[in-house]
Amino acid sequence: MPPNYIPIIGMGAVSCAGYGTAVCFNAVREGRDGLSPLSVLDSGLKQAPLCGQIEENPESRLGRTVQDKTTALALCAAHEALAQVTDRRELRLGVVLATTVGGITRSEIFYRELKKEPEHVRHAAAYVSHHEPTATTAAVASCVHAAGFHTISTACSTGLHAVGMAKRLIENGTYDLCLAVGSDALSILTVRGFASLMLIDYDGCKPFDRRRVGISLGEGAGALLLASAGAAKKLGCMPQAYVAGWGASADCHHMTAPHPDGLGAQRAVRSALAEAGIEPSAIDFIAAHGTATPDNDAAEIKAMRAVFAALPPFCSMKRTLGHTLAASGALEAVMSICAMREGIIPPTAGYDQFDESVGAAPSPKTKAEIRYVLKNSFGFGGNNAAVVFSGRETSGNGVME
Amino acid sequence: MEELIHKLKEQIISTLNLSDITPEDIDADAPLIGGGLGLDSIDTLELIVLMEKEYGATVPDVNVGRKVFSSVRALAQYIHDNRTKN
Amino acid sequence: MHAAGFIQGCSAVHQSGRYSARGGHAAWEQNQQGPLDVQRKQVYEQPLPEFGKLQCADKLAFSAAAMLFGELSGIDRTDFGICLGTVYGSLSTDIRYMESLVAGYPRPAYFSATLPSSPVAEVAIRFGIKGPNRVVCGGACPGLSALDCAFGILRKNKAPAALVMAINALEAADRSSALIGPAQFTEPYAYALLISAGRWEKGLNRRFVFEGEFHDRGMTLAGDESYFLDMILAIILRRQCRIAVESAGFEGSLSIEKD
Repeated sequence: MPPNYIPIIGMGAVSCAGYGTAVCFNAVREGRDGLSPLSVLDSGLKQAPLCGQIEENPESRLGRTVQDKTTALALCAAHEALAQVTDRRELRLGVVLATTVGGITRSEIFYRELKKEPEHVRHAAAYVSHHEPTATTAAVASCVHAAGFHTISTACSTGLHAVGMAKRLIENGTYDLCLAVGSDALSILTVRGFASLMLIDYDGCKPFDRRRVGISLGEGAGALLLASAGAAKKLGCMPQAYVAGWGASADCHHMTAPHPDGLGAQRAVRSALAEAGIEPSAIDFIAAHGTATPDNDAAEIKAMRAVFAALPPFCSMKRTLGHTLAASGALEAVMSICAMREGIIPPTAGYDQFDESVGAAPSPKTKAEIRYVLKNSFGFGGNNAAVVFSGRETSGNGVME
Repeated sequence: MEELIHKLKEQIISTLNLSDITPEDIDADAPLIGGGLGLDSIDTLELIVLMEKEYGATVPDVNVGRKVFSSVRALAQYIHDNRTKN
Repeated sequence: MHAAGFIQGCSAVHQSGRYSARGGHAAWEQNQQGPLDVQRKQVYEQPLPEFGKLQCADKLAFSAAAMLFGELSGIDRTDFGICLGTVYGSLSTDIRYMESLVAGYPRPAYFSATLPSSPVAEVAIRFGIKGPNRVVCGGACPGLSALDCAFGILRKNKAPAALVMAINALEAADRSSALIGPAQFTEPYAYALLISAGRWEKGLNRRFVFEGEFHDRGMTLAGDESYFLDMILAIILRRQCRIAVESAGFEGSLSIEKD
């Protein structure tokens, strides 16, 4: 195993499909439609869009109240990822958390109350400290007794960047273990914001489909516990997979629309492949960003065609899980690793009709040998992330053990 | 109509925070989006919100929006035909 | 942790005025309250009607980047990385967006600017920068975390140079929003440094060493990260300096070596 391939020794997930990695992957494996008309909050929109919402309160799973839903979801995923590590001893644990919403789910309620009733400012202290994304990270770090924590936020790509950053922090020797978490809860601000940008498909997203018109929002969290090779050995933990390479780039094009040729996406993918030390042909499947906006899906496949002489099979999980924003990169990474371990290429819920302008269709497979998977995550403002994950130990001649 | 056109120019400048631009700088028949004012697709959406807020004129989607915002005059005409406020 | 590189450009937009490596210091005009009143022509030569549209964080980052790049003509920025450390994310814009939502008409331009990464996107778009980027929010010293990320990018050869920006985009009006405690308010600022791994032909080439340890003792918010301004002054005055940093988030030093 190349020394810069960082072991993943734990994973956690929570989404509209349910709590826990296995439960979420059941939905992905089936290609289940995970969306339902938005009911967990009152968005004020005339029509409730289909969303990947989590109706079961994460606080009941945790058995206590938590400052906000984003933090609660992050904790659920983090606890699951750390479950195998019972005695950490003197190993240093870091936390990198990605979120766009953070505690805004509470601030927006507070702000509304404040407008109606200026007296409400007396309660400000309770909300003040939770507005910033760092509050979520600090809460998770404190719960897991982390030695240090970092909050990053680059829109939809940020969950995947968390995985990359965790890799760097281990490579630098800053930590022995590093938890990469992505978490976002649905909020009125986000739902109304995307609606104002006219990016939502109220009837449910249709990734790569000819009829696609927009995204479906979701909420959830994904967590990956990375360890140095030495730490994994000390803990006696068998890696579930490895983070082989991380690439990032800027489109330098527009605040909310991707570059039509996906130039930035190409850069990010090439950078990830280079770091993993592999040729494009080594990639066995692509877990696409596949948000189902007319622009993203076309640009993404165009970019992949430019990088790959033969386009690998690909899928999008956005109809099964919803677009969970900052969580998506981490959550879908966990799902991709599950797919790699099980040897399947998941179906793409919501896809039905081939689109000439995309020129390719998602191709599920019930039996596949997957050694390398590429996960893409592209954010607003043209911020692109790509991570290559590799499967377990292979012997010298490339045979999986 | 001319009064509405002038008012619209002022509202566009203030809503979109265009610095260094006065109403006299805006040609009523020149393309709004992609023209010399440096407006882009987010500005289209901002103008859609402006239309609804100030005039109760709904622009149902971005495609209609593109025609409506082809010039200030086209915009004034759309408001004239579709307004439900003021 | 020990990292070394070369500073090829720097700038600051600060309560006390504007600073840049070759231009030195320029005070604000009488009618300007501070960094958020910056005018386009003070930082960027060409006309830019969109300048007025920029939200606080975006405007500060753009202004700092514009001044820095304004002094570096003829360099190819395409592959540069951008690392941003932001104290409050985009709180000013969050408030403005929430106001618009509560009024019933959420503003799309505000929404897209509520992302803490929005300033990076603006700078990338305006200056044609396509390399890797990082955005670190909050904590006691996000600017130093961004600096650390930049060295990471250089060490891994992911980019020939990295633009590091540290910003704090709060307005005086935000004090009364109740979303920040009165004791937490700091005047807005933006600092920018362009760092390369090696010397450049005809570059500024101020050798720079960054060493120490990060640690985070709970959720402390950054102060004013004034060590950046100290470094920028040292570069402008062509002096060497060694700035010790002892904050809740980092213990170590930043040194600019002899010219």
